[in-house]
Amino acid sequence: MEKVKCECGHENPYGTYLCESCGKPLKEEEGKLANMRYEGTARRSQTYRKNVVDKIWNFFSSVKVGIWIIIILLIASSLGTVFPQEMYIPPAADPSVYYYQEYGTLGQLYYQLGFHNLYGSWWYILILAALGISLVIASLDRVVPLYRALRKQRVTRHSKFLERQRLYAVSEETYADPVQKLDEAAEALKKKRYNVRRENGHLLAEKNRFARWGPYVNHVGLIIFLIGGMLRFFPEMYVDESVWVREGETEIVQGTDGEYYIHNNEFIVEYYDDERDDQFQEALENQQDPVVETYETQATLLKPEAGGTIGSETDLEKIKDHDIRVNDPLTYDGYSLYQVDYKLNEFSKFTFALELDDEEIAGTEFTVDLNDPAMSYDLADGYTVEIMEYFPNFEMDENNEPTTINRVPDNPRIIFEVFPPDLDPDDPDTTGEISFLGVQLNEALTEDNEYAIRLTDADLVDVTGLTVRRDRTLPFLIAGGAIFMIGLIQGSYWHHRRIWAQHSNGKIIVAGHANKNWYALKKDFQYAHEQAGLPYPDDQAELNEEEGGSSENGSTKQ
Amino acid sequence: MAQLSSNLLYAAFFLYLLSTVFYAVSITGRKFKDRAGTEKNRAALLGYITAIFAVLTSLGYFAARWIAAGFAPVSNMFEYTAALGIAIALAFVIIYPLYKNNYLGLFTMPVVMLIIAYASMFPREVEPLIPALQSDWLTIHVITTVIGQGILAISFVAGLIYLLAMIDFTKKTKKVKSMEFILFTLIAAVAYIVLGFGFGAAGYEAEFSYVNENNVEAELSYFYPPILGPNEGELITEQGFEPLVEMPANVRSNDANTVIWSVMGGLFLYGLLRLSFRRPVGAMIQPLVKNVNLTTVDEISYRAVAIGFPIFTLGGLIFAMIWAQIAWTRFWGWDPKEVWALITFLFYAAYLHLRLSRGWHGEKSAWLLIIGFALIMFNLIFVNLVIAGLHSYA
Amino acid sequence: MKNRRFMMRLSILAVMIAAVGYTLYINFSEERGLVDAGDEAPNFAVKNLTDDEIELADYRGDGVYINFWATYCTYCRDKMGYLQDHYEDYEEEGVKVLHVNVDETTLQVERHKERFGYDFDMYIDRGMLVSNEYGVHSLPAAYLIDENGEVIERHVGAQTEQQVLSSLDRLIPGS
Repeated sequence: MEKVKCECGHENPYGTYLCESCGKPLKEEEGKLANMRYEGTARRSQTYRKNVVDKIWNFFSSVKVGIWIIIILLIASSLGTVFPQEMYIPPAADPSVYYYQEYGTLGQLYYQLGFHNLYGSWWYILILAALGISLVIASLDRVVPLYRALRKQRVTRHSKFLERQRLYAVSEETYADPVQKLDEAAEALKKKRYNVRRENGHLLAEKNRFARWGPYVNHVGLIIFLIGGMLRFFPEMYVDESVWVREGETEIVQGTDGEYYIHNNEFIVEYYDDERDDQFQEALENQQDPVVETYETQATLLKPEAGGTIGSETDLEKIKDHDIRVNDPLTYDGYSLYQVDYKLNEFSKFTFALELDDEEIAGTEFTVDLNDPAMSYDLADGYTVEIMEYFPNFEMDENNEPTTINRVPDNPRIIFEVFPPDLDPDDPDTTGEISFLGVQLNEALTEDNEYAIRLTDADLVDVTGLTVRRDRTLPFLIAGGAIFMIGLIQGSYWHHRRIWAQHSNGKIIVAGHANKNWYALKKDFQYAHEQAGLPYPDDQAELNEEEGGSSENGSTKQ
Repeated sequence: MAQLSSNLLYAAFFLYLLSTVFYAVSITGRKFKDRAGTEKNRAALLGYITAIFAVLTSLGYFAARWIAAGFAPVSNMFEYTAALGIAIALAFVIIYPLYKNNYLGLFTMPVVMLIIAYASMFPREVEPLIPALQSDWLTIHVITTVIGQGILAISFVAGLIYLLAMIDFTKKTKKVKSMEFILFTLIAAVAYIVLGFGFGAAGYEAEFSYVNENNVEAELSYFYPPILGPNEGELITEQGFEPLVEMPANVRSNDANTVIWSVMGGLFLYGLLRLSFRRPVGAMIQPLVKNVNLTTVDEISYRAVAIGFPIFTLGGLIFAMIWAQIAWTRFWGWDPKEVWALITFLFYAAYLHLRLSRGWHGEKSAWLLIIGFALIMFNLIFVNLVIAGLHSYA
Repeated sequence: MKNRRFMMRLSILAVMIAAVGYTLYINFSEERGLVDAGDEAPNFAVKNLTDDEIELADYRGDGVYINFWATYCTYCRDKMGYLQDHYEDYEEEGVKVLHVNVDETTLQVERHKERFGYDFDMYIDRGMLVSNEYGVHSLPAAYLIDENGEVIERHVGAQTEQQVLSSLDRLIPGS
């Protein structure tokens, strides 16, 4: 491809604005000021358009396209907050009717457009992907030429280059020994922690060049972060399960392939008390319901001893104890168990007694474990009670038959058959009296029941709801986030500043460039002016403005 | 301690007012020359010193309330909004010495006052922390975010000054209309606060019984006289003011009523100004800023973003994600508040790219910064009060 | 030089597009079970109502039809009716049907068995260990395991008698 040869002898790639070596403008530009962006180097993508690959590449390399992607992402994200996302509507609600019921026609439209699950939609993921691709290509395309230009830059610059800098001045005085003047300036600028290079008496003072890499560092961080986010879609990277554990019980930790068990020693809920916590008195009095101060599961993590088939009984060994609270999960081996929910007072045991003519028959009390009931209970004096049917969470199904909704004893119902001493429960031809028991319910299913079963006591238990997570993408996200922040700070809190000072026929010419914070650069010029008598430059951008020129100083449309 | 803290906040409010006055004098008053003949602007120095004292006093409020409650006072709407006001003042105190621009003081201090006054419209009692908030990350995440937003607010103020100085108010352009709309918004906020204090001082309260969205009988309090009444509402208290319009059940009628009052109050004040001076409100302010150096103001606005954006990102996204991972089991859950923080981040990222790569300086940059601050306020007010989410406290 | 740049750009773009494409494919392809067709069936042990333990590995050489069920699952009832009618015929041909209940009480399973007159063995998956390992989320869930211990089909939801029988036919060793 064609190269552009500058008068200083350097060969520049096609598309270069300013000679890579001496800085002489190689293209006629509209503005008065030089285009210093990327040091005037040829951005590869801008320079030729050939085949499809180049076209795609150039598309994603453009900052304009990048900004559009950001804006589209921004608008798309905001649409998802108009109504709640599917994950935030009540779990029992059917989204296809919920949105219409709650938000009317607009809600229905929202659902039909798929906005109820916007952030997981294919097109939202594609926008994110486009952002990622744009970050990679745009950064690659700029960082390489910028690196070359900054490494190659010469001290001596073409007078046209200097003239077109935003800060520029020529001394009024003519010095007999301008180089000595520049020596003094070099000393002054060194005190301001500039790196000073000299060539033929000319001077280039430079400071904080590393800040120029900030944007690329933060883009790399973002790319790593997005890769981490992409890995989330692979099932083996991510575990999200929940487990409910009753007090005193041990459950397998879902999602760990049977590797870990969790035992709930005790579950505690505490409330704020307006006498003890008197600083909250006013607020607590305005609240009708008690405010939860803390809830925690005193848990023990267990592990089955090595070897053994899934499901077969193995002994469990303790790994660690931990009081799991909100903000304080139990973490082990990459898994974390979070306190997210609880259920107080679940039925665990019912105690019954047999009655005859409203009198309890002595010694006929028996207790049914609602999570593991026995088939029959042999009571004193030869009485036997058999459980015919047990429904932990009773309901009548569509065929009007009794059934259970699930395994949780939220609404336990039991059908009992009573065998007095004179009946043999094992004889298939005998039938005892049958009754149907539940909370606040005692119904005889056979006629003229002599015996009655009465619920005398109920044991309750608290259940803790834990969420199990393991996220193997976290290291990527942490690394990406950290690199992003480093890059952002590097580019925002330090500013690359350069001062050129040259001598020509006894005059001193100064020019300065900062990629941001011109104010500080001017102060440095001020210092050099006071200490070494360097001319203080005019701000050509401000002059432009006063002359009624555009305030978009020196920038040309790409 | 709680009493001390609220007294300190009152004191700070008046110090901000005093600082505004000093800055106004420094710009409009005569300049004094000392014996050497160099111009000294003593009022500006006084303004800055007062601002420092005001910030120290507000930090005193913050510390006293922290001690009284036992946790950093950033856990509800009053506390967060007050902290935002303080953060803006703090950002000003830090940035002012870099540029010594008095216009910035003249405009920042009233914004701080407005935000602190707005904060005090929310319930001010110390509220107990729910378990999800009991973490050191509350302190770290919220304070970092609020400082970031405070610095970004300075860029808004600088952008506002820029536009007020350069817009040609003699023509009826879109720019003039947009600026008038921004100023109207600020005036309506003032009206809301004044009316709120007024009715509050008069002890106004009306109780309604009404039928809510679940078809259940419920009660509702009004602190502004009801123009919009609740669904099938009936007054319980005697106060001689019957609602003119009844709202449907799924609208929070007392909030809607407050909005109506604020808009009407705003229109009244704005109309009064327009009628008495017979020109746009922006044109009334413009003479104050006629001597402002546009390049400096533009530079300040950009510098504030350069400083504030990384802090906002750190607090509002990175620390937010760390805490969400600990408290809510996942670092990101597309909660509306999270999404709007992301939108704010993306917006300022777009701003930086437009400025650095596309050369959007000056006027375009200033308009963007006003939108940016609108996003921050939207996330604070609208997302909290209207879009319900996990961040329902603040 | 030009060629090298072209290849470089092409490969970078190709890698990125492939990564995005694969991610979308994974995300939106029909959900694959934790254990699914083509996988080796994880071994497990379960007990019946009289506490006799069996292991899946005991049936190596036979086709195994594992039926995960619960008393509250109505489709399971239909399916177990079909299996009740035919299981003995298939047992002779080397196909074993294992009914695994998802951790209900022994009492319920026993009574359910009596109520519907099933005469096959019922096993209970205590602690849902096996269901978790196999990734069972909805019932009924069936896993067809061939004589070499490899899963040949996973099926979730109701099935007609015809479908159940054709599944069992596939399991006859050597078929």
